[in-house]
Amino acid sequence: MKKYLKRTLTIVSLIIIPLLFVSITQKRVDHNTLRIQGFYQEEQNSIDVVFFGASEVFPGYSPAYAYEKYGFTSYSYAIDANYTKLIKYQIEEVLSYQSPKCIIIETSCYYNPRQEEEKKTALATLRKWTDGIPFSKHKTEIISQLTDSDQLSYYFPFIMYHGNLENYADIEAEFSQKRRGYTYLKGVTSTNKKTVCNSLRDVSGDNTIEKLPEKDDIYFKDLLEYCKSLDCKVIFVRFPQRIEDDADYEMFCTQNYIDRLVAENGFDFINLDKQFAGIGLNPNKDFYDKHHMNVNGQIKTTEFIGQMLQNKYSITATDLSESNKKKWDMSVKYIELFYEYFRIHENDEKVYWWYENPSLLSKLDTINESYL
Amino acid sequence: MKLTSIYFFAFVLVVCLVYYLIPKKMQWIVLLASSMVFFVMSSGILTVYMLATTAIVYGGALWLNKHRETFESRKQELDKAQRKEAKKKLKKGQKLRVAAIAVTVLGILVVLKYCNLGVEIANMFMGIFHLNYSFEMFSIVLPLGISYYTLMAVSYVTDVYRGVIKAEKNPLRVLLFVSYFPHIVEGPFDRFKDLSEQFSIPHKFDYDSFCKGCILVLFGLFKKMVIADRLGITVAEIFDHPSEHTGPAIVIATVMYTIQLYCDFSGCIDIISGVSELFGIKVAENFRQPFFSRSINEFWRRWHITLGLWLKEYVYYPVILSGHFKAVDKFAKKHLKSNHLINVVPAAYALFFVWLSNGLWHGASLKYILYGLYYYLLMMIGELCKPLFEKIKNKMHIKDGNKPFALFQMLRTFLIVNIGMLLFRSATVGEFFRLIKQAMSSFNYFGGAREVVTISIEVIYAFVGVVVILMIGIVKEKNKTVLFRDLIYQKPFILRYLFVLFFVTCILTFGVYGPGYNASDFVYAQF
Repeated sequence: MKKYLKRTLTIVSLIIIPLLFVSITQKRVDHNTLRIQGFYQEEQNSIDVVFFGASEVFPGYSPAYAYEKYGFTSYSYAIDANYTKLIKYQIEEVLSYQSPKCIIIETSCYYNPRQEEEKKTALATLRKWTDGIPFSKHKTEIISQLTDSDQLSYYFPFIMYHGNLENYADIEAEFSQKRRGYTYLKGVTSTNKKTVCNSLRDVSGDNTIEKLPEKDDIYFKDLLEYCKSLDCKVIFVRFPQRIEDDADYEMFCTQNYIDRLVAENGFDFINLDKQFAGIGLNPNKDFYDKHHMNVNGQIKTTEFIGQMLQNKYSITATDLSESNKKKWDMSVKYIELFYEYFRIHENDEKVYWWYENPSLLSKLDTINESYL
Repeated sequence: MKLTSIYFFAFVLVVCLVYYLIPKKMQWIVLLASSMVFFVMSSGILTVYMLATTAIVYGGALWLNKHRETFESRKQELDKAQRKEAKKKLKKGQKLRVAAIAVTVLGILVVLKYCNLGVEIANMFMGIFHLNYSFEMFSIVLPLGISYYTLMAVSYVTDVYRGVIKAEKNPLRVLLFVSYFPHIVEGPFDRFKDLSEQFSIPHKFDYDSFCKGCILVLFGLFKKMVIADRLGITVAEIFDHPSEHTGPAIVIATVMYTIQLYCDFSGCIDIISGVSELFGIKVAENFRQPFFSRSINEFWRRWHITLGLWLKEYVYYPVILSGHFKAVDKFAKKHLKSNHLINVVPAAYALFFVWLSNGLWHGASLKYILYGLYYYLLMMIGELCKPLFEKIKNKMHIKDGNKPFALFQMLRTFLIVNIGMLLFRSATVGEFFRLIKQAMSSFNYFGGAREVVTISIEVIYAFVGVVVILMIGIVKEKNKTVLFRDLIYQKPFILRYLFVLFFVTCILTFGVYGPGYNASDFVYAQF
């Protein structure tokens, strides 16, 4: 009996140990993964507002700063190059963990023709999201509905990413975040980069309509139907972008089409492209490219959205547990340090790209110590 | 079903479970059923070709047997002269019969695999004679391992003809020999006499043999997935776009391709042998550290050993027993003065057919014929110049056991093999010569190495893997009488455990598999 036990243990350990090793070390981690994983580290039913969307969201809105200024908790459940089809599934996923008072859907991702054309990009986006989701029944449903091959690699990412030499710094960031149990910066990414705007088009009163691409149109209408069944407030927002050329303008016009669809379905749509003055955005200082904001833009947009949610939609703070309050207070401290750090490097010629990795956190800690 | 896929190993596991759970007498039926499932899953309707081949050699062998038995039964009734006459007739009849069976079986292979070679040659002549017409290539899908099972089928019927084995009465046993699933993909070429007995005897589950089989499988997976496929990514990039790369990069890619092919093929054979050992069945050895060879002759005795043996048994021997060989031999003895030449010329005549067959077996293309003849030519030059080389060696006082000389010989053989591999990898003969010219254009090998690493930094894993394989190769060379897996198994438990753990972890971490890679099939599976 002892002999058989020893043999069984040997064989099982020879399978389990290498599998554990590769599961821990062979993965792809980036700011998207950290942000999505960070969402699941939040206490259940403690988030008041959840943002959905693509890369416009996480450099343009800061949950910790909004918490500091307006008291409500929020999170950007957004990923790079997010696309139409995924949003509904993402809302379902979020609602299985949180009961937010309000959902904000950023609408820029509804016009991204390359997504459907380039299946690879779409698959990469899907993986950026699913790699961060913990295992659940809903995850299995997402994978079975959105993929038709290599499904095993969505559950065991090492099948997809093994042998990658370039990813160890981010894996370290993941360890650090998991060890801590929550995120400091709530998935915010940003930069000190600024780009000068050459020919900003004034679209403040422009209501020209351009229809969405066919598939996006179907998915968007489907999403609107789905949103009607939700118990929380749903708001559609277009984050500010600089409209410089015809392509930007065409995209802007699709937002007017979205505006019409949203209104027809009884929801609110706020197009921040038309609110540059209200937000106080400086096109030459507040964007790192024409689609994305830098830290300056992030602060201004967060204040604008925060005020809007507080005043217009009466979003108030949920009572947080003592331990959760401490975590959010810590996030406030770190976002302040982050903004301080930005101000130090604001005018550096060197461009910095920031997200919550050990390198940035150690620099913020250094600033913190110098304050003490 | 790829041999490196999880599905294949799941399949093997299920077959193993059934194999050891059912009554021992039925074990061969499990192997037959699983081989059929494997074949049908891989080749679908094309399985009929394999079944037809089996039916022909099975029926053919019985036909030969019956013919011989008829003679044996009538032998007693005949007087001495009549018996001599009948024996002569029998011999001729048997020869004609075996030739007819072999031609029919090989005919299927030729039609399926080589019809495009005919088109290629016809088009070449069209070009030579400036005729403005070219024939279109046929689009034919080949059944799995056709070149392997056909040659094994031929070996079975020839062995029956030669009286080495008796014709098997049970067609299913012949079918199992031809279709045995571990060796159907890439060989080795086993002979009926070696396998049939192993299929017949009962196999009790033996934990130690099972573990040794697993070690061999792991070793094969390491060679295939960590080295061959990893190198394959860079090699493919360079050979698919040679004009975008420098000469030294071509040279390095050629060496990498040689290693890739070795690790791919020998890795597959290790998996096959290991899987077969899980059932308690040993298949023939196919590789014996070929890069330690000191000559081309030795190389081919260590590389694809069973193909060499097959060609020796079923091409070389029939040729030297033929009338035309005897004519050449007679001619050499009559017209040549040197004893050396008298020996070399007839051998060269017979070997020409061996190497032509070797080239043709590798593929239906002129470059493969040239590939076989390249080695033939080098061997013949080596044989012709042997006395000269001996003289030079003696003058330089070089003894056979001299280690630096042995190293020189190994490097020389490796270089020759690499040139052959470049021809093997080139799309056409023309491209081969273009690549040779390009390889000679510059000698900045540091730059070339940088270029290669830039294509895929992960190629470094493969280089580390090559070092591991080289070290194991040295151990194997020093312990020729003991199998490497036995050597591992003799070590204390903890060392064995760590060895296996290392290989499993390396395969999972650095192996080429999953959707992130376009894992290449085994290179030899197409033959």
